[in-house]
Amino acid sequence: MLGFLPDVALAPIFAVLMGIAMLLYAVLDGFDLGVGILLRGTPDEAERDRMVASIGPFWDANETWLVLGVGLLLVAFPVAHGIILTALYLPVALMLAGLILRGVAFEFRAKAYESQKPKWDVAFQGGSILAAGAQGFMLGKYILGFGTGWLDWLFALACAVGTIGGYALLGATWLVWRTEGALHVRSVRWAKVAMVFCVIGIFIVSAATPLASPEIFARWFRFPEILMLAPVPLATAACVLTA
Amino acid sequence: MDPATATALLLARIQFAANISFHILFPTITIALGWVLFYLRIQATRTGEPRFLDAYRLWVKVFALSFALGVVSGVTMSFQFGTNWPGFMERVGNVAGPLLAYEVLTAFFLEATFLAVMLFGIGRVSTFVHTLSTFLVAFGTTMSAFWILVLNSWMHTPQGFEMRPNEAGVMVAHVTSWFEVIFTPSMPYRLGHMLIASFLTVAFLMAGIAAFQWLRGNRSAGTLTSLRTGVVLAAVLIPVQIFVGDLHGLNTLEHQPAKVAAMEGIWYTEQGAGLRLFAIPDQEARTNHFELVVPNLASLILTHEWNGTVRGLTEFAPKIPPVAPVFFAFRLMVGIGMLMLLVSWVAAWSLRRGRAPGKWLARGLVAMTFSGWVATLAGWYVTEIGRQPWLVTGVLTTADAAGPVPAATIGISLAMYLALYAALLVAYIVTLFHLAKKDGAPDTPVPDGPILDGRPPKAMAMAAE
Repeated sequence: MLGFLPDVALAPIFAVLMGIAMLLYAVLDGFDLGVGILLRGTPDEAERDRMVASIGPFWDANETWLVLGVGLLLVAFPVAHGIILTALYLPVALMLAGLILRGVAFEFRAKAYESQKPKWDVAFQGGSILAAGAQGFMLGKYILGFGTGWLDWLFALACAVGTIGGYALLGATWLVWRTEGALHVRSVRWAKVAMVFCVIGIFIVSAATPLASPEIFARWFRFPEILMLAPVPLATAACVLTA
Repeated sequence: MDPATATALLLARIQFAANISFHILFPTITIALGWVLFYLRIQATRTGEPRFLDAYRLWVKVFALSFALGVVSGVTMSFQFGTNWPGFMERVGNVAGPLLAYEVLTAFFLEATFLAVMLFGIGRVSTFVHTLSTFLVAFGTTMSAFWILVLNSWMHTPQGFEMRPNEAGVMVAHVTSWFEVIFTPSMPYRLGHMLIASFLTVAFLMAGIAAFQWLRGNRSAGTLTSLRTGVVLAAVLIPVQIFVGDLHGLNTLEHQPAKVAAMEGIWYTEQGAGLRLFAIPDQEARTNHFELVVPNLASLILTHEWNGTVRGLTEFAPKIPPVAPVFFAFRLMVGIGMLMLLVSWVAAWSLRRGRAPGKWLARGLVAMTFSGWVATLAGWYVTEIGRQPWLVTGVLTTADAAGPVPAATIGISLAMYLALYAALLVAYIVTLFHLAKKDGAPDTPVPDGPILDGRPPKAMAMAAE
């Protein structure tokens, strides 16, 4: 594969492709999961139907990015694939259970007996929260190099809460864009609450990452790299202040 | 192997078997159902008769439900390679990785993209776009099956690679010919056998559900269309399947003779080997109990000679599969195949020239609704357990591919998956019959999809352009 490129070029190329796939997954399935997290925030079944319908045509295409990202990890870095997925065994299993529940609830809540619908709403929301939380937890474990001390656990749990908040923010802004009327107003309120959790999450991860890895610390706070990285925290701060 | 490792290996195998068994139920439906929907869509346009679209509306819902279950359980499988079988990817990742990636790229994106148009497109996009989308979804689903069966066939009859040590000294497969990797000796037979199995599963599912509706008093033209399509498909394909299955068996005899010896329960090499209709294989004593044998028949079927030689399991020991599950699963598969032949031909004869089904025929078809699932699972157990102790024949054993995750941890995830799958399977079957009932009620309008305000969402308009 790609025989015309020198081998040293393949690793960064695949790392970039994988990064793109993961980023697209987080943004795209992030708003799907976010809508799921918010689903039972409204007691009105008609509003819930509209929320689910707004993501119905997209979710499985969006979930494909996860399969692609993990597939790239597997194709390009098989040893890392084995190590990472073995270290994260239980959170991966929980994430998959969450994605299964969320995915099937789409179909079941529309097709099963009417009396079962509220139960599938619980499965939809629970699955979305479980998947988002597990992803955040894994991110936390990964940043700290799969440590098993209580501080690592606490950090990973904080990342889980931050991710749930971040996805909820994505979901809320998606609904602000795609809906009208009472649901639109409700979504604006949801977005504000979710933002608080999201910002706390961003702050924790941003503070812990350079502290956990001296290499990253050096890279982040070195001239001229800091000029390229600075827009990210500045833009985040601007968003928070104007909201 | 120490007991703790052995327990962890066993639990990991049960977990993978549970996952893949649950997963395969749904692709088995969607692979063929996609093409049946394409047929119904074409017929609707060609004849202008509404009954074809009526049938389409019911079965596209079943497709959507099955597709969702297939997607989520498939994602689980792709993760399990890494979580439970890291040795598989380390040793043969150069072969398996790209094949799995082709599956995602050529098939999954195609399906996921056009599925929405197929599900919600009636009346929203032009007939041509809707027909094309139905075709592309069916094509994508079949391509998925193709790549997965290519990989599976390579694991049974590997070729087109060489083993070279990596930096750590582990022997790793490197592809020397992609053509040979894709077109392995067992691939055409396995692909043919599985695709027909999928069509038979759908045929009996359609006939069974439609017969259920018929018994409940839904005598609409759409119901009869589903019933006839299912019965005719089954009656035509079951003899083809028996023929292809026989060819697949002969191919297995050539490349994996130990598996065939286990299927036939033959422990010692025999000339003029008899066909064991029933037996209880004893792995320890290397013999069978309570044998019921038809003399010379196994030799006749396998070698086409009355006194042909069939090699026994002891020739391949100790690398032989657990015999009893292979032996019984094979008999279950063949038994259901024979039952399918009987039921579908009786049904086709009874329904000839527009006749209505009788009560007992309809009941028989309802009883056979999920027969395709049982036969397909039994067939997969024959071929997959029959490959043991190898994961990739002659290259990698299942034990060598297992990861370091402790037994207790696997036990937790296994319990979680089993509970989840059992609940979802019940929910799926209940919902299937619920859809069938709702489909028949004339006073409840059947909504086209989950979009309830009747206004085509922006995304649909975009997808249609």
